[in-house]
Amino acid sequence: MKKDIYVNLFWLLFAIYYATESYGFGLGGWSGPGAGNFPFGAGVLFVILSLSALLKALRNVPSSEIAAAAPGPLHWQNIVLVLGAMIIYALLLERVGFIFCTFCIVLLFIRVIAKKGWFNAILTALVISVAFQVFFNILLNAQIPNGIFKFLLG
Amino acid sequence: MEALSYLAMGFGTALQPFNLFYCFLGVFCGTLIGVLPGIGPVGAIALLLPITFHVPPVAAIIMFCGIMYGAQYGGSTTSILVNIPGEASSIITCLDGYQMARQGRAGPALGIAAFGSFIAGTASLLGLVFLAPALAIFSLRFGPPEYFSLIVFGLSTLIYLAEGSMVKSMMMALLGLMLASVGIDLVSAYPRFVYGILTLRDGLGLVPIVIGLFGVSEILVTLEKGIKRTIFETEIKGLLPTLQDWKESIFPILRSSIVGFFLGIIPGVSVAIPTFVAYTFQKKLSKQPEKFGTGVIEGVAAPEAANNAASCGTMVPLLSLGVPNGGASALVLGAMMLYGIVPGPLLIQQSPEVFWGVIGSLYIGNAMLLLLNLPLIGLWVRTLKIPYSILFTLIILFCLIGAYTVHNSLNDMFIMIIFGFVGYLLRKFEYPMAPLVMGLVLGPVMEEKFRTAMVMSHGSISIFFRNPITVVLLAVAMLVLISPLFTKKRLAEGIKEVEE
Repeated sequence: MKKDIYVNLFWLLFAIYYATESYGFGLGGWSGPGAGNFPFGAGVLFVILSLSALLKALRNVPSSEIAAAAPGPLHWQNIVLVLGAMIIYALLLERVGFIFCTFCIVLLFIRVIAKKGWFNAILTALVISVAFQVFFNILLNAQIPNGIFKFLLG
Repeated sequence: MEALSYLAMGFGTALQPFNLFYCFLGVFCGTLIGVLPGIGPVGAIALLLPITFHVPPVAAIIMFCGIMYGAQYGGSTTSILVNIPGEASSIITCLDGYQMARQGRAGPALGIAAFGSFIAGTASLLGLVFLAPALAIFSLRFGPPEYFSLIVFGLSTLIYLAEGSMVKSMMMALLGLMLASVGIDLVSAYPRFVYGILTLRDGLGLVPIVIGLFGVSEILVTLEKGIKRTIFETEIKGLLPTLQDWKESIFPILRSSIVGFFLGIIPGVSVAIPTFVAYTFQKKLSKQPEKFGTGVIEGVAAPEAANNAASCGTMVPLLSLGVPNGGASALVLGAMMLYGIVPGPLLIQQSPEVFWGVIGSLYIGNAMLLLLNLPLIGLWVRTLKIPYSILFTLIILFCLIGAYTVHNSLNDMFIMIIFGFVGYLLRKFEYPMAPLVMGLVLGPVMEEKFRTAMVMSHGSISIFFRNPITVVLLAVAMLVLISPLFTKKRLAEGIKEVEE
């Protein structure tokens, strides 16, 4: 398959980079292996494996193309949404605070991905964010920052 | 009968209310995650790791083990009722279990799965009590070269048995070793792959990586297909198997316990493999092999007993050698190391309370599962009705918080998100994850043993060929890895055929 070629090409480049970097850490001698010795070995093995997989993929391009049946429509926008929301959650957590960030991310997921109504989404978000605040910050004392609600929650 | 007095001590430790509570928590969470799709035991242990940092190590390890075997119980429940194996180790249970449920015999199927698991747990506990200490004494002779060879052997077996392409699993094991190298080299203090980023000096962190790979990626794969769930309609009545059911399944249970336990001991053999072997073995022995797959009770009893016996067997190399069998036990090993407990031959001598306490808890946990789960099956079934929208939201939140609370650091959260995406891609391109976790956990140990061995031998590679133990281990590892070149068919493929 075509994608196999790209994937293995990526692995090959990654492994070459990894092995070259490790080489730079110093391989040391046989009686005293250096910092780069073990990663270099792993990297070289990885180069060999990805190269063989790449060659194999290049050799049988047409045969497996038919076998891959489409598994139905893919909702890739969900992936972007979830990953994006998680990154924003991480960026804002310490500034805005645990309870508010949790409220927003739940609201987003329930409203946009699960396509529930506003009332339903707000209620779920409220219940989950308060429950998480109680469970983690009060019961487990996990000390996740309260951000802008610090004056209220301590 | 020294072992028995130690075992009594272990029961004493395990029965302390505090440990008992964590044992309960472990088996409860284990069953829950076994029932729920979207998160397996590996992800669950990773999520709970940071929360348990202030818990005494024994209690935490007891809980993690509870999750490991509790998940087997939970997995079989969904296999039987809705034909969805919660875990790989209960795929085989679907074959006859779901057919039994369709014929209105869900109750006895669930019942025999629970009783079978309990009997298997009891039988393999005896094996564990006598074998683990003996193996530990034997392994006192293990030096760095022997350990290095043993790890190579464990990784090779795992690679060989992993589903899908062997080249892919080999790449994943290597990727694990490669990722484990990130951070300051402990021998020379040289910073490797750090790029001036402070967080990377301590390495990438096992917990954020595993949460990303096993928690987030699973959600992403499911969401990509769109939200839809099977709704469960069957009614369950009469959980107790009849006398006839018992007659048909008691010998399969006992046989499968033995098969499961001994296969479970081999490093690299995950809990799923013994279930396939036990089922096939049972089918071969049966007078009516053609009935397998149509809802015979032996077809449920055999794999269920085998997976429980195997998760007990896993504890032998884990506790006495410090070598795990697959993803979940690798993570338990990682957890032990984080707590400063070093599993291996010295564990029994240096921390007998941990060793025997964990063993005692295995038995108590199994009893708890039997007592709890039969009455609670209604509850587990109800959790299947939780809408996926709520479920995935909760899992994502647990992943975010789990990664954050390791060091209360946002960097861990970012590492987790990155590996969530990496895991998603790996799943899409069908790269197996278990070898990656094994490599990640064992990488530092493997490197240290290799370097020490080389220093010991003044640079002569022959140190790996001087001792029969290392020669045998390395030779078997080599054979296993190059065998597909000659036989064309691997065990994993044979198993797939059985499955079909």
